[in-house]
Amino acid sequence: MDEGNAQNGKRKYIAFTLGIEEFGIDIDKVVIIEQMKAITRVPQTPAYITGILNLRGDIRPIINLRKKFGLQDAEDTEDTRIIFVRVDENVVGVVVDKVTEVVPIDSEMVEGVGFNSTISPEYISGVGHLGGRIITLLLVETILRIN
Amino acid sequence: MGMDFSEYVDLFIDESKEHLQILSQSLLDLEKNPNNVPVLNEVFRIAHTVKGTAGTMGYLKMSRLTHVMENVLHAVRNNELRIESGIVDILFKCLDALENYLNNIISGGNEGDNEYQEVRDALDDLLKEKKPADGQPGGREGDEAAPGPTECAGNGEAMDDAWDDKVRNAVLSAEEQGIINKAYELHKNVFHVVIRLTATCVMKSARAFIVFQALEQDGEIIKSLPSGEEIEDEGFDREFAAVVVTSKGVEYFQDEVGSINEVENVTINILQPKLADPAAPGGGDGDGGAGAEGAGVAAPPAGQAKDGAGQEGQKPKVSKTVRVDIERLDILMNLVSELIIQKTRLEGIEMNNTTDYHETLESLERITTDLHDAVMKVRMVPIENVFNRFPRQIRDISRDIGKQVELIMSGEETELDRNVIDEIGDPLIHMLRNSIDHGLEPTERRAEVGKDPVGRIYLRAYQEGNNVVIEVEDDGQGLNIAKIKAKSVEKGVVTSEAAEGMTDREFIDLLFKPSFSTADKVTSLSGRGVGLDVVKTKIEGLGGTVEVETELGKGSKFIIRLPLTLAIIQALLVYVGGEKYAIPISTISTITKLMPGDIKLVQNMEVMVQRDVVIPMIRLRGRLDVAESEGYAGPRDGVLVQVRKSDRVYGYVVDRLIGQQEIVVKPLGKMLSNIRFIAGATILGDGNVALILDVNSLE
Repeated sequence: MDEGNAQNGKRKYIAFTLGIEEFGIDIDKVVIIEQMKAITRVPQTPAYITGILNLRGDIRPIINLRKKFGLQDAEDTEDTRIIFVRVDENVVGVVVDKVTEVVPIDSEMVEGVGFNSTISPEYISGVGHLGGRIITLLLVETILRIN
Repeated sequence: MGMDFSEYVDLFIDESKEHLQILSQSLLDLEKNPNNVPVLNEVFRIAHTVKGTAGTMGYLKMSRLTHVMENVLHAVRNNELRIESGIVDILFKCLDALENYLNNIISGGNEGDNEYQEVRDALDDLLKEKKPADGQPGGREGDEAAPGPTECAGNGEAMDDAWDDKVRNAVLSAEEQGIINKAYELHKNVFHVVIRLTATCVMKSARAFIVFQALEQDGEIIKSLPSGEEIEDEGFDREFAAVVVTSKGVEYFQDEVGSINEVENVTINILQPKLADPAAPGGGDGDGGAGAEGAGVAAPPAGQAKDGAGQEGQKPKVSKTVRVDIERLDILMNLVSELIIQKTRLEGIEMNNTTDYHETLESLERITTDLHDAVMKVRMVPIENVFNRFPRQIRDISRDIGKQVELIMSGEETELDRNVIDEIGDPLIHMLRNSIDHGLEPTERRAEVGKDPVGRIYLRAYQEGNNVVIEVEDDGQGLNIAKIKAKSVEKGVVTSEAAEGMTDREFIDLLFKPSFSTADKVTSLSGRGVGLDVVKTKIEGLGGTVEVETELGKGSKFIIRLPLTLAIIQALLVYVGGEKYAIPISTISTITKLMPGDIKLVQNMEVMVQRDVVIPMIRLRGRLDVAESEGYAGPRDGVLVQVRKSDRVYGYVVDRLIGQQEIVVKPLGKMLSNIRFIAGATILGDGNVALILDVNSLE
């Protein structure tokens, strides 16, 4: 399926931060990264749904990852970005503190879900090691599942 | 052959839908005029085609049923059976069965288990009744061998004597004969080239196209059999033909056309000059009409002439349900390329050249407006797609009720948004039923008052500004206000005192109240409690309105107005706190400034009393959980917007009005599809998003 990404056993991830922790999303799932824009709040929705915005004429829901993961809220800064990810036919934006870079991670350097992370293991596909960095790799599908 | 046909299922479904629609129309025509040979041929052709395609696709029950149908029709064509109402009724049952098969295929992928034995028995009984006519060409394919999937591949004989007669005997109009005569004067040859495709040929129309191209290389095609349109729609079995004027000889075409793939054989007849009518060769006893003008052959029955149903059966109409006119796509393409040109121009403009800048901006504005129009047009579908099932339904209804009815339709080409088209069918058929049941007098009564015993129902569609108007009119008794009055008092809809002060219009409005029926006796059709109120709710749900015009003794007219499209609506934009919301204008009844003291507390609920009506108040700020004072400094709770849903009114308290504007409705997407109070979203001029309130759930 994702042959486009896998090269010499390495997969590419968009790395970003939430607070002090670093996360990664499989680059194949990422549609586009945008700066913060005005988001319209939608009543009667869970708190982690910030609202909706206009992405090139389409209405897209925006998820606040901090709220979704139960982390402390933070003000938007100049570095705040929205990463739009696609799962099946749905495109959803997730708000992150800062996008750092695209990182290739060797699949041998990815270990299973440990219990050392601050967020619920259901959202994690694995933990990648890159140099001295620890990057929590997210499972986009479960994050976008509405419950 | 080990071919996988699954990819052809969609094609089969589309085609069969069209075929069954034409069959329905043709059967109606046949019932009115049993001697209309072209229509009979059409029915036969469809039965045959469906038999073949269904068989190829492996839908054996469908294929078997059409096979027996074909036998009966064959007997009719050979004058061994007479078309009478009984036969047409059975053929209608066949049609219903075929439709059921098709629906099963659409929903479940297979045709289902029902063999419709009773229908097939009825057909078989008909065959037993037939009197042997000259020869017995009908019997040979007979009752043995149920046709399997290979049947259509294996033989095409049934077709030879039927449809293909038309192909083989080129019946020429006087004009065409004139061209031929002229060609001879110029020492050219005129050939009637009959091409037979192999049984395995799947894309027949494409193949025919290639053949025509080859013919045109060295000649001029003056006529094709069947018509070009029918060939495109694969409205032929394995044979088709062309009349070609050329300077080449017979052998040339034999080789040229004969060498094309999937062409089984080529027969070339040489056509002679001067022989106009008498030469129209034998087989075309009635077919002659199809080739010539057709008017003289099938004289339309008295009183039918207006709707032209007689002629329509001969020429299958092409439905464009799911297809987009290529022209419209071309227009889109052109607009997009213009857009790109303007964008490039914009990039090249010097920073301080405002003239150029404004010019480009103006062109951009024009292009985007055009683009918008063009895209909307792509979504538009002719209302014919809904109308064309009515003649059959009206026939059944009029029989059930025992009234003679003629349905006269016009404006079928009027276009509406696809979403509206999908929703409008049921309300319309309900109104038509209503007109037949309640509008038209019983047949005896019509005679008494000096009216034509055949009641007329007019169904018209036309565009009027940004609306499409659909009218359902009858020439019946008109609405009896006195009767409605008596009924409404009797039913307790209004008190007798209140009734005294009511206007005619107000009484007519009562018709649209739930469970109001003026019919003296309850029929199986209307008067079941599902009344005009349902129709009205549905139409209003589509952003439309219903009106009634009536004259006692002359008839009634129901006028439905629908917006051209649901994707663009007029909306009122309001502020609730710092947030902007859109309320569809079609749901708003009044907008007033909210005065202190307007709101009263009744049983702890905020309401407003207006002309004795209690209107519940809904403060949107609270209901929509709008945060306090965030970026908003205007007046609070300044305006009351009254919205109407079916017959109830609610008052929405908002802070401030922004204004009315046209908005494009966008869905919220799957993730947020079930959010209460919100029907969708729209993108405002500044690129931000405003939510559209769902008046139905916000109460």
